[in-house]
Amino acid sequence: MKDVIVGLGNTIVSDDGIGIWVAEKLKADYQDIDISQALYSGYYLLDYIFGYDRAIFVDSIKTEKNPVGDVSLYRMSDFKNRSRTSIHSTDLISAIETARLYGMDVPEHIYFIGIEILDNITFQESFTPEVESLKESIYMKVKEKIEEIMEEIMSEKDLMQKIADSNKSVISGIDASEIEHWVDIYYQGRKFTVPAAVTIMQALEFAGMMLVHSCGCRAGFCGACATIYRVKGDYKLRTSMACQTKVEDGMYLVQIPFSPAEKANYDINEEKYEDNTLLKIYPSIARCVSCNTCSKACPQDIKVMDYVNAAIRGDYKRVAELSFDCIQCGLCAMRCPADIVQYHVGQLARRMYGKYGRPNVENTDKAATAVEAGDFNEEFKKIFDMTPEEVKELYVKNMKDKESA
Amino acid sequence: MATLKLINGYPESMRESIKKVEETRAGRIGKLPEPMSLDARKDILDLCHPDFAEGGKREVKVGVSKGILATNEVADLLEAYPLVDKEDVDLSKVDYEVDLLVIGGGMAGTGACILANDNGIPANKMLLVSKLRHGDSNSIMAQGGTQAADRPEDSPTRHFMDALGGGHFTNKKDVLKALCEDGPIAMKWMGELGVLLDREPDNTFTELLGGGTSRRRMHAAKDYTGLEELRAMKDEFLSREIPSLEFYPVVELLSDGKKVTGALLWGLETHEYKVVRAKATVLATGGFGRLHIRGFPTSNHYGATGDGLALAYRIGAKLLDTDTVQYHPTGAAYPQQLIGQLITEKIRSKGAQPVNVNGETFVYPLEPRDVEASSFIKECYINNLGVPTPAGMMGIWLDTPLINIIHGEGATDKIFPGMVRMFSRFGIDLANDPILIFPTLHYQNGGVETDPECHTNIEGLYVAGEVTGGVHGKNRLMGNSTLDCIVFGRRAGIAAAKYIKSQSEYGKLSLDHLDGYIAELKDAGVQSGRVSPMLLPDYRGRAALARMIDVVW
Ligand SMILES: Cc1cc2nc3c(=O)[nH]c(=O)nc-3n(C[C@H](O)[C@H](O)[C@H](O)COP(=O)(O)OP(=O)(O)OC[C@H]3O[C@@H](n4cnc5c(N)ncnc54)[C@H](O)[C@@H]3O)c2cc1C
Ligand code: SF4
Ligand code: SF4
Ligand code: FES
Repeated sequence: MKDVIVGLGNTIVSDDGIGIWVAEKLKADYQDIDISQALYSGYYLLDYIFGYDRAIFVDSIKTEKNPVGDVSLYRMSDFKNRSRTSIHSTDLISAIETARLYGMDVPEHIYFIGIEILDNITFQESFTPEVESLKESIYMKVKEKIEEIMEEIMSEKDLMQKIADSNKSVISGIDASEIEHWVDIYYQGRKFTVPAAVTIMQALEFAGMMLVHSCGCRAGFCGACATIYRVKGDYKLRTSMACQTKVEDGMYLVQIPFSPAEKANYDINEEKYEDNTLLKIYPSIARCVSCNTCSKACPQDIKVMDYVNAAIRGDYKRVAELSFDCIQCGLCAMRCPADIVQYHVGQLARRMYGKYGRPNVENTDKAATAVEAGDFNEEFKKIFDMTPEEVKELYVKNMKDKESA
Repeated sequence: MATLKLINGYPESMRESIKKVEETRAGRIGKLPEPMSLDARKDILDLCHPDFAEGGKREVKVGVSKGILATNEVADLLEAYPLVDKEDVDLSKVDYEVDLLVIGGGMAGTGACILANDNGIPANKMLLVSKLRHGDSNSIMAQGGTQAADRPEDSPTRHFMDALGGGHFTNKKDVLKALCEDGPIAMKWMGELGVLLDREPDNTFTELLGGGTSRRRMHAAKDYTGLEELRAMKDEFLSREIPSLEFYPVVELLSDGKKVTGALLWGLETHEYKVVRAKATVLATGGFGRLHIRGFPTSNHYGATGDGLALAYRIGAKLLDTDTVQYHPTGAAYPQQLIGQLITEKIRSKGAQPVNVNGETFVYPLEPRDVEASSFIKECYINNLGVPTPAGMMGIWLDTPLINIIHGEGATDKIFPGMVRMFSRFGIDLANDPILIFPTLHYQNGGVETDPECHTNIEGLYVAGEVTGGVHGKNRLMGNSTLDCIVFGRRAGIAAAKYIKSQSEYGKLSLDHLDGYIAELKDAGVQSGRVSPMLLPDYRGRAALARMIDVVW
């Protein structure tokens, strides 16, 4: 974190110099923060804060409501609704906003500490007696405000730390001392005692395995974590995805990180959209004995047998619809007594149906042709030539004419 | 052995809170908190958003973009020593000599190969390497959809303006123009590949309105958009017999001192290295969710460790916008098995309200992503009104039973079949009970700087997809990143093919560029022992790691 404190003011117009005086004194107390003093206003002040993460301006202020010597803390959002007089930073606010709009490197956090004064008109190199007598207490109050800012920052850090702590089981592994409930599982025959409330995948990691295979998306989309298991006392061989299945006591499991099921090569542009194309490319589907083992094995609850039968008939649409949720885990193919590679057949059928079974979308083809012909170049050029303000206006205008959902 | 007692998926402790949610439900229908004012939004972001809360970022001390602000976790990757000692590798023995090397098997990488092949690079002169299996990626997980301006009511310029505003006007304009213009071309290509995007009865695409867009242009394939797009692309890739090598991540790029000339791979199972010499290299390694920035759970795949950032940076490629991260407000927070996984935004659009432990609403459900996420954090950790889970997390209820109450019995099953399946696997019926959520780390906004043709500032190195920075600026709109991968994967393949044709010879292979980088690290006082790329996150936990020893035999 790089911080800067900038004292603002003009030492030859009486109390106006208080910001400068305070900044000078702060140098001794905050040696690891950059402290500077400036008598400019508006855009010139940006130079003092570029490149910092956090900037605190200390400035005089004349609300004429607060008692002289009063010190208040403001943030950027405070300036939006209130008009304020006699503060150097007023036009600074718009300078900062513009700089942000242009993507310049202004600090993310900007604070203003305002000191209520009496006189910022009279040319004299000393403070009014009132401010003079209060200046040490003003200094202490400014310091309090700076501490307040620092504390706020600390509490943000604490907050993030709390979140990180409560998530640690998913970001760096489960801590055994926090687990109450346990189960025994058998991975490739070896027994491991693991937390009861985790997935098979998390359990294996807890058991000390650094997964290389059998782990991809960790969310049920990729099919990398196909698993076969039996539960003690149950004859049935079950299938599941390790990232989406909770461990059970007495689970005997093994993973199938890869299914040796050959995919045919074809040129989709050359294949004919005919009833027997799927059979021609995957003749093995004719061997289906309608045992339905594949459907029972499918972790996505797909009616695999039904789509194989539709494929035999050449009903592309039906195959496409039935097989749509397939994550290509290969479990159906692993269990098929007829050695059929169902999911490859499904993939071919979906592509054939997608390419030939539905008419092209005319709008899309037209829009693509228009782009290729450069039809939008002029409109783009107009936008590229706009000032940032004009771009913003156009954005707001487009949003006003938003389509309804 | 004792198991935790669950009643329809939830333990007794959480059931008590669910009771309160049920009690307040009827009174909440149609009554929502007001949306926040712009100032209130800013204040809550300042207070609670992980991007703004203090202590999350620092300036990077070394490299070409020295001084750039990055999250600490990304800065750690950049300010780190190489995994391999250059003395240990023999670069004179080349294992693969190819025209084109593509790193990463998501949509960007797969698309780059297909288009390079279309543009004259023979399949056997290419190699796609990936860390996990080809396709195990963030691409395959995209649910919501892909934006493309292809309707007469819409135009690429309008798409451009929406994305520019969404990115707080910080996007790289020439790259964004390419993204939006290629939208219709990308969708047309999807059709040619046979991708089944949802259609209307009149055979036009079903196009939905996404957050922050002024036209309906979100194309989807049910809630499996990325899966459907990528599996068709991969099928095409495999049919063309383009060689690929899985479980061989790149651990360093190679250079002749001027341009990128290949890469050094490391076998995750074999632990041996392999040397690839290539005329052009496309880096498409995706994002960094698994860095768990600020300790957040993530929606990303296992291999999303930001490797590409470290690889590219060490060879001199410039980075952009490494200080912003996208957190999605609704990641699953319970059960333990689903933590971090994405719950689509649509569930709130359809009426599910976020409520606290007492069943009270506290925020308008459809604030922008960053604001919504911040108010969940505030309710949990500042107001202490979150719902504690047995695993020690805090979460907010998403009152999903409201969906059926509003849209009629059976609506939930019909609109959210994937989500219903996900929770039912753990005994939770989201039509009857609320689900618990907490913000999740979702997307890497910044990355390697690129131009519309996917060039980096280093000759021979192309980049595409989530690893890049600039196109989305400091914030990405929903549906623009799958488009990004398709569009710039294609463009990278085309540009690389063109470049390859201009190169008659292969470049020299060396790791000498590491010398200067290592010297800089030492000067900056970076402790030895911090290494990158990370390759895989480690979830084995303290108990297992404490007993780990290295055995050499
Ligand atoms: C849950 C989820 C939902 C999403 N939903 C949407 C959505 O609805 N719409 C949308 O537009 N976007 C969405 N996104 C974002 C979008 O999916 C991704 O940003 C995009 O697909 C990334 O594609 P990519 O090709 O760049 O990277 P990835 O698809 O992540 O591919 C990266 C590849 O690189 C490999 N790799 C990584 N490191 C190395 C290395 N060192 N060496 C070799 N290979 C390596 C990986 O193994 C992987 O194969 C979503 C993302 C997630 C996680
Ligand atoms: S159809 Fe086969 S490959 Fe596809 S998800 Fe089901 S079991 Fe897995
Ligand atoms: S398992 Fe094989 S034989 Fe049995 S129904 Fe399925 S495809 Fe047919
Ligand atoms: S890891 Fe992808 S489905 Fe389980």
